[in-house]
Amino acid sequence: MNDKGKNRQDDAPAKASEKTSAVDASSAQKSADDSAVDSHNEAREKQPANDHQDDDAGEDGNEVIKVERTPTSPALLSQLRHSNHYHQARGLGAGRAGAATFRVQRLTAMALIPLAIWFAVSVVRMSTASQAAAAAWLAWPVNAVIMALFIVIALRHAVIGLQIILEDYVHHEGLRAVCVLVVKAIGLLLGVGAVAALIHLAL
Amino acid sequence: MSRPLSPHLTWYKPQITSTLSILHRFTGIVLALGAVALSWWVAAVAIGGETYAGTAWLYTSIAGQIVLFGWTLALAFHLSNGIRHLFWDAGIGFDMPTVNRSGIAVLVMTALLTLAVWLIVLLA
Repeated sequence: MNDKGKNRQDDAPAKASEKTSAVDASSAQKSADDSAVDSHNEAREKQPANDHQDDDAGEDGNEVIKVERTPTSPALLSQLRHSNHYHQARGLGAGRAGAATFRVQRLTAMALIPLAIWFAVSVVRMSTASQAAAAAWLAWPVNAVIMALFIVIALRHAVIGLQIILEDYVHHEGLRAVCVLVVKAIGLLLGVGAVAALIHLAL
Repeated sequence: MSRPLSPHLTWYKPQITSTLSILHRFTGIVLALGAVALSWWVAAVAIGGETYAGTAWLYTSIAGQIVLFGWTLALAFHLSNGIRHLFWDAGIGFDMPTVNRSGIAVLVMTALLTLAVWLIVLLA
């Protein structure tokens, strides 16, 4: 019995230092005659008991702890909105506009499935046509409308795709912003130009 | 900062998954350039005269027709693989055997679509 106790006492400080808990170490030394394991358990049980107002809470398993719901004070919210941290964090992270871009890219992709098939067949055929034939073909309202839809939707899809590629490979933030702006400007210019040309041909 | 940024293209052995993924981006860029050529063609038709003559000469030249063929190939691939991507977005076909099989299906579709377009163009 005595031998066992000594062995355990030797173990106790090592265990306590592992846990880096001063309470564990002191209580282990106090109850040197008792087993070190017991002293550990005691220390663990005593610590939370000090903070507990209601000692019965742990024993009664069915007791429901009711917490009063506190509404967030508007004063606190406005305090948050005026804080520097809020302004620094706002607009960062995943909540910017990524989901909208993702959705537009998928929607334009779906619209482009039938448009691209129509386009591939008709335009490769028209590439060898004379100017008069091409002008007449584009002046026909159905062709003009489908062509306008195809160009505008394809450019929207292309600009998003190129923007994603630029964001992946251009690592310098300023250069990346300039590249994205240039791509968007070219896309807009081409779209407006093509639609203007189609209107001109149709009139 | 010089920490490594994704995608680490040079780190992986080429596989059908990664190859098709890279091709999807590459053909996307090719098609974006094609959109420039298309918009210019529509504008040239509207302008007419020498502008159209020059554009038509460029587009119907041998080099122009080869580019046009490459462009329909890119369109067929991007279209087929894009449909594959839309299925993935819907959560369909995301296990590896299906991904590999649909990748091969995309390549077959690309060849068939390109052939179909040029058959229609040449026969019509």
